[in-house]
Amino acid sequence: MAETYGWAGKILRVNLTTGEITTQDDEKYHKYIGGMGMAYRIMYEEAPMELDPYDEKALVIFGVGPLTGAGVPCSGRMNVTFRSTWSKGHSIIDAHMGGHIGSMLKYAGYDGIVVSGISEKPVYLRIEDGEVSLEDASEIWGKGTFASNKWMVEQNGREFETASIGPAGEHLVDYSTLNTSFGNSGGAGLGAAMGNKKLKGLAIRGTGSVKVADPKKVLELSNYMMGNLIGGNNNHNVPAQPQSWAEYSATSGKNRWSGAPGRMWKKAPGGPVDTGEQPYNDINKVALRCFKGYFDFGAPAAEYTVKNGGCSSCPIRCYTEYDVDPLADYDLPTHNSNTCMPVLYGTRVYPDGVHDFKYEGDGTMVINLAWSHAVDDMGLWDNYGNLNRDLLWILRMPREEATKYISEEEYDSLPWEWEKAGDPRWEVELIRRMAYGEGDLSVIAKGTLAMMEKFGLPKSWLDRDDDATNSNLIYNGFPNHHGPAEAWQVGMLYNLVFNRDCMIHEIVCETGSGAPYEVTKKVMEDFFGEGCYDKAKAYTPINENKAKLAAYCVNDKNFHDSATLCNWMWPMTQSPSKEREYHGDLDLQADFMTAVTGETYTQAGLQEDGERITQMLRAMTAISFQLNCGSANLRQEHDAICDWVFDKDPDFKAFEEGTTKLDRADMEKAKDMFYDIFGWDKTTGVPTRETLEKFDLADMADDLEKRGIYAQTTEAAAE
Amino acid sequence: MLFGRRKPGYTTTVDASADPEQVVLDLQKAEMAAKKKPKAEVFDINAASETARRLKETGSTFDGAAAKAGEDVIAVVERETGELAAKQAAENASAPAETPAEAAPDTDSTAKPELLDFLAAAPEAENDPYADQPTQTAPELPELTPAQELAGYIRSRSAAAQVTSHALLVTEVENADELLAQMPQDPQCEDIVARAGAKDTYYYSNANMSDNYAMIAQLIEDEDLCAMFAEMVRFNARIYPSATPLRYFRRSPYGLSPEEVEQTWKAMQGKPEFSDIEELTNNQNERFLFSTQYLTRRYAKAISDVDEWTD
Repeated sequence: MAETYGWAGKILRVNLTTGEITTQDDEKYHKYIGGMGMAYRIMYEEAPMELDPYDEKALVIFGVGPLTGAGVPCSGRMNVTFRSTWSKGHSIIDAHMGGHIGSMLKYAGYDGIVVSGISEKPVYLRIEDGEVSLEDASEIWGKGTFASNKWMVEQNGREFETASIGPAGEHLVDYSTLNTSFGNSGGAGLGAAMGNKKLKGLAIRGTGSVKVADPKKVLELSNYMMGNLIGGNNNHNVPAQPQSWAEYSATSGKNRWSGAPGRMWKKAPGGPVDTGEQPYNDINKVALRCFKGYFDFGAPAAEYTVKNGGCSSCPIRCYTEYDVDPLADYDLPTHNSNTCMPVLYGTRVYPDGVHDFKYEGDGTMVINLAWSHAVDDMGLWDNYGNLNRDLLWILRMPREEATKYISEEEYDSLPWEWEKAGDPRWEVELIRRMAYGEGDLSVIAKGTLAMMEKFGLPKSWLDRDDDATNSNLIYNGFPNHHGPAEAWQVGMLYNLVFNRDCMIHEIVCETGSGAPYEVTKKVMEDFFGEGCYDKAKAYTPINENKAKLAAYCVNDKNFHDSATLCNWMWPMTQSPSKEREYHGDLDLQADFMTAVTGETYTQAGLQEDGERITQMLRAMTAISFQLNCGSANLRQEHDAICDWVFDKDPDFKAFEEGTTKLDRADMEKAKDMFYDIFGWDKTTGVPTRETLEKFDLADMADDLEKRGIYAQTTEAAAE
Repeated sequence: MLFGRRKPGYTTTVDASADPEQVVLDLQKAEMAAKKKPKAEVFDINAASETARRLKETGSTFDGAAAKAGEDVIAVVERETGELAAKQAAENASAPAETPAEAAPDTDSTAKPELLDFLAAAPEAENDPYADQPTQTAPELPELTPAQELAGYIRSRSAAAQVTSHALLVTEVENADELLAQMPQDPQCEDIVARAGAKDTYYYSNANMSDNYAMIAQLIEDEDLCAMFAEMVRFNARIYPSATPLRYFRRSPYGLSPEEVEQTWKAMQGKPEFSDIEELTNNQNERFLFSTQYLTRRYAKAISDVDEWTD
């Protein structure tokens, strides 16, 4: 094995059919950074898109990168690559999870795990440094993730980090996850990908460390980041409430730097904790900045908050931990922790609304935390809210309309009295049915596209202008994620690239920060050029710098999921420091890469590395669309935009103050610019041969040629 | 006693594992040297919170370049602190000496002997591995001028999120006006800023308090709620731009009751000086105020509406 810093130097290969477990030197993948990039190369070389996602030869690839576990702040992430069963094209897809398990994999000595084959019986993968084995998981097959993780820890010891799929994954429910015991999860159908392989979970203990080329430099960069650059969650750079050291705060009182004087963790052990002021350069109070519960739920969160939790190497602690005691009245677990979608959308399945439980205004919080625990236990994913939106669409129908889609017997079997009473057991029962695939309604958890097919809904169903039940920007089965409403054409462009929601936070970290527009605009234009940064709901036509910014976001996110870094925090674009005029340091991630690996990295170089991954993604997407949709014209098949994006807010014209609607012609122009920047054919959106060769991906160009995809480009251009 | 009240939520962290004598030295050094607004921030992973703040107050010009260049962060801070103390000593040596009686009371100087007395009176620890090591003694530090003492008082109140009214200063210090007049000429007091309010003039240290927060604190001290509402609603509309939720005034540092908020807004309505302040309700039934000087109603409503969002 080659001597390297940052990278552990080897990956594990586990064949579940044969039980064979081997290791492989991974140096040849280092140019793909790790995580997502490494997995894409392995997937392309070893598991062609022709394979059914549930084929025995299909791969599930867990990947971390050189920065994971290396002491870099906000680096406790793990990427998992597999094949989509639910989004259009059944192409390559990723789940992303935090917690401690990614770092533990590094400490055990591995940069990744490539899982192939299908086990005859349920197993879990046990890794204790160099001792790797497949262990019988029959005892926990059928159990929820909390019980399963507990059992694996009991079997192996408290030093093990574990993650488990739940009943949803076991039942091959497309919306399924892999979960830790703390609400960290990887979604996108990962549960089913593992469930198909009868792989219940992972239990990992690593006693080693990550070799770092220049540890002193890593510490210095970390100090520099902590004292000058880092803000709150999403790197929001002003506090939510006025603080005496800060010039600005979020007027709405709502951003992710939500700790403030008077905002308390009232259930903290030893008595309430006032999160107080957190001067930006007081590094010992960084962990008090993000009171995510307060951001999500407002004042009622204080009543139930025990403390903040979070991932390894992360000072932000965005997982608020709660003791929601009213849930005990319904025999539901009261200890909950999550930070993401599971705590945001539970109320959508209550068309008649929710009620207060113990404190004024706590209904949303109690209901959402009951949802969070139940979906985490069942290992059920929500596809960034589409599960909830699609459920709401049908649940709010009158009985006679709803029973056009589900049977009368099933409709009447739903415990509607709980829905009308705002009883949390209503949502738990819905989740159970989804996770076990029970009834017609559970098709919703097979994906929006599967539901549309089963219910006979036309493609235009996705064109509806209804925020509550339709957020799909394109026709591929996944919703808006920080799209045009937060990032104008830039957000629309980066939502076109992936085969699930984009998971890109580069812009919403700025637009949601609460800082004055002119302050942030100066930062963004200094980094990305004039005209790149629009004011809230006051957009301007597309320009070159916006298109470049969109491309930057895609490449940067891909680097993050490869290195690995948390995309909710990185890059350090803004700073809370007035002395720095609120400018962050985009070079810092390259500086960390250099310090950790001992090789020289620049930000421009990381963009190129990220773009190599973007190009692999696009080429594999073209292949899978050719195979599964009959056409590799991605501009038509993959990147078409739903009508509501252009038709919403009928009282406003695009580019008028007060709307986030886009303009059709402007957006086509934006695509032209975006494709041009990426070196994609303007007619089809497919990477040209020249582009792929530029990134040492000539084999992919040959493949596209051989498959006739370039011939399609020529034909399309001639039409 | 010239000391500001700390509000709830403004905590001081004490590192119990630190050497008490060193803590005293650090506090003393920081108190004596804290005269200038820092040009840039200081960071120190090993420092306790309060120590970090006080290092900042030493006037360090440390801007992170040392860390990026690979220099030792602590060494740079200590070097700069030493240079500053030496500079101050040189300046004070050439100035007329002040008698301790003329200076404002210094709580640290009274607390310090008590702590040292306590430590001296404590029984010797058995098997103390450090017993034979030499004791570190406090370096000679320059005396402060009365104006600098007064600046320190204003500074300490700013650190506790409070501006200091002129009325308070003249009550506490007989020759306050004379000392305040000296401050603009004293480089060690350049962080002390005067802000004219409706009822009084207010002083704060811009090393410890932001200018915009001082504006808020001044408006609170003026106790004219209508004027405060109008000022902040206009400020938020002009600067961010944003409409201002009525709920904004219920939060820290305003802390008004729902009744006070309602009564204030009601009192503003119909008065010509507040004719630009209007109310709107967003799509989640939350009420906002905005200024038509800076925002159209249509745009103010649009940016106040809450759109669907994800995480």
